[in-house]
Amino acid sequence: MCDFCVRFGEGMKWYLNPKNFSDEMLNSERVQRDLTPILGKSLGVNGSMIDILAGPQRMAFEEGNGLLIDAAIPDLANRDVIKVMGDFTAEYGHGGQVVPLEDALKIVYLHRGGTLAQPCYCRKYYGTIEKYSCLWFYPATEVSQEARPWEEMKPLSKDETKDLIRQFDQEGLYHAVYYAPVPYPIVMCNCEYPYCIALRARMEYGIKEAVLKGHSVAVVNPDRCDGCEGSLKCMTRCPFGAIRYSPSSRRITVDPFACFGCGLCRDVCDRGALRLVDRTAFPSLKDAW
Amino acid sequence: MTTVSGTPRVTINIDNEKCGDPLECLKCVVACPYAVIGYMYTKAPEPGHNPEGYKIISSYLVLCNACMKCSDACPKGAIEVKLP
Repeated sequence: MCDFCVRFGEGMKWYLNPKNFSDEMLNSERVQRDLTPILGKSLGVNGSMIDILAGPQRMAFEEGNGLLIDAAIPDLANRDVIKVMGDFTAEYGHGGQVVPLEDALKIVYLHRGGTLAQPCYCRKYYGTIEKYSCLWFYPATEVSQEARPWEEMKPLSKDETKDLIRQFDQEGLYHAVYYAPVPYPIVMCNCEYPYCIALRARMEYGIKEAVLKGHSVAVVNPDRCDGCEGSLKCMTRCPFGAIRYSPSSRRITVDPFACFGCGLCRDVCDRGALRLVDRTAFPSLKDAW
Repeated sequence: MTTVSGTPRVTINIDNEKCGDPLECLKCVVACPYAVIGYMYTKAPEPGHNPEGYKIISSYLVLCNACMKCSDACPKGAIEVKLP
């Protein structure tokens, strides 16, 4: 169980607990907390995390964080600063957790109504690539298009959203559910490296809370993996660099500490040699989020 | 000899005046292989309004290896890349 599940899961994964999707949670003091005193000075944004993300301040928050990160972490070896930033992200801010396809579909099922597909900020503003892969949930579905008229957004039904997520999975984009703040799920991202700013905050700057690892890890059945004559489809799809090939045994291994449990490798293995298991299968991963 | 603490990284200075309206170009954003160069509005507009202008930004600079593709791509010479 990750810390979020212990606090908000009630025996389930936090993002599968229907209570966390409810009006009660949305209107709670926790989710509606005014962040102006904390973020007003540094990023110039005002209101609750959801106000900021659903409205025109979203870019000031998302890209503003990137603009500050180098000054905020002058020394990558200084764990104290990184921990403060991570704690803030989890408690008040906007971060996420990697989920496999099946959990991504469950989250869409659990959330009210459909989604609003928006162009991915990371790919658009750091790469001029328009990819409608950020699937926003209520209340962003109601307000974002009107608040940000310069971005074209596409309302999707639940079924359309699920089909799109399956399509992204085929393309090789991993899914992550983002809270604002935890435990209210506000968006399902379908991401890739290097564009994803949250993933870069984690991989390069060590802010784990920006993107937590998922609840699963991939394991290989050594009797089934034959390295598929060197094509190694699973390996090319791993966004986290967790898969390695051994020329001697002619099969792959998954590094459980590097694996985020997205399931992209499993979804492409012709021989059914990869499966996802709960990360508690490795006692050593207990605290490795 | 003084010791500099911290992680050294490249600095990218962008001259917004020379650049002008980035939306007409964005060649540097396309050129950067690490997605270090991006663009954003100069100021968040009121809800329901369009941004007044945009600027080129650089962030996540630990990823920059000073390959110079951004400054090479800039037709106006508005990007200066400096090694630490």
